Amino acid sequence: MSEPLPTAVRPIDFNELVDRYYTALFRFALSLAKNGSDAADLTQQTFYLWAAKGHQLRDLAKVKSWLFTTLYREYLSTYRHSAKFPHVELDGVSHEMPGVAPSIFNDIGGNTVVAALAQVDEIFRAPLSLFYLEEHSYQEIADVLEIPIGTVMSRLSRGKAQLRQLLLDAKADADGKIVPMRAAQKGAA
Amino acid sequence: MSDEARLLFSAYRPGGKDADDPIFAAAIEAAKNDPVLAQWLAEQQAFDEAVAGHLRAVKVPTDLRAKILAGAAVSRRRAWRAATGVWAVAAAVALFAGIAALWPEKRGGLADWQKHGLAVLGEVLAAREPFDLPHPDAAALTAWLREHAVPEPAALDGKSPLGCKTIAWDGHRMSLVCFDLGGGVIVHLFTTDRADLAQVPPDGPARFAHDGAWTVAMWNEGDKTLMLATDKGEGPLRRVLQIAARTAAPRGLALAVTR
Repeated sequence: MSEPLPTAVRPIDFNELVDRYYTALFRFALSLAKNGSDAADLTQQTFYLWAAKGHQLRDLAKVKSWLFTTLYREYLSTYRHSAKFPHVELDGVSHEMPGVAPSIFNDIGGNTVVAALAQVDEIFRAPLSLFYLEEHSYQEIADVLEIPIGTVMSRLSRGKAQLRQLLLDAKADADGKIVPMRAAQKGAA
Repeated sequence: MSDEARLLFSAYRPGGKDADDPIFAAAIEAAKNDPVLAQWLAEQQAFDEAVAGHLRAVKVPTDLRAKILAGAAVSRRRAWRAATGVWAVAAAVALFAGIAALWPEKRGGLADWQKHGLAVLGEVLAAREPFDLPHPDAAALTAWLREHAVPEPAALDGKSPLGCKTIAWDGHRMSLVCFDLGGGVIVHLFTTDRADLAQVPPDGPARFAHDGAWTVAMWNEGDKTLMLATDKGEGPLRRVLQIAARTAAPRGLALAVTR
């Protein structure tokens, strides 16, 4: 009986590739584009590009990064006109995270969490989505978004702070409380 | 409580996937001896797990998989037809111009990785993207590139570099090192792994190409493919390459003695 080929040299099966990544790609696209129709288009376009030229990739280990990078570039080129985000310096990072008791998730539904994530500033939303998809390490996020590792960490930190505040707001809204407007949130970049 | 530890833990995925990553080792150790930090981490992990769980529960359109497979089948047929046409032309040209004509000449003669590299370089020069390591010492840049497993030139020595940057493209990586040759001339050296290229340039003398304001020279060295770029025309590039040829030194080294 022959030994199975190592993953890195095994021919890439397209159907297997789709099954492995299309749900995560769709969820990443949804966090960027904020609507299911555009997210589905982005996901399809990403695999379309793979089928058209992805076969040039020789290292299977790099396929995941290629797919997410390609989707992100498609989003930037199709849905946004600015190709690059401003760089966030480490020195400017704030670690102020509003406290959120785990029980908050008992009071708000999954849709609220996903909606809150969609409201996070775009510069933080992309790394945050990749992080929560749990498919990507910080190094992989840096590769996909083509930003330095330090920038990934600072954007994750700030993005989480925003997300927590948005969830607290959502909870307060649900409780019928008046929430003061948070000017700081928009100026976080 | 250490701000540095909290910044690191922002990238620490729930479920212990990063537990063996040495970058987190010091922060994890600090948390063992710092109850406040440990409590902060536990609370954050619980928060992260809850959010990740909700994101994983997002429903995907039931027909999306079928649409992807159908659309890709069409694109593969198109790609095959297009590739057949391109290679038919390339083969005809090669009969007259030799094998060098196989080097991709589309859109100004630069491949996608080269165009992407120049685009990122433009961001660096416009101060919208920083160097990963701004440093005037080539040895420091070499050490940094090796430490981060980024393709590096065969030889990088001298005292005129400005800094280096890692650039990702299509799941691969290339390095960018910028050199000040004096007199207002700066040249930019891109290095990538030859094996990552779908179409490898032919071996032999460096080839020149132009892309907007950029003039580039490209060549192979061992398992690497390199591109040297400047906005000052072919002169500075030819100077570097001539010195490299005279000294039989790798062209990366020649940058150090051109100044």
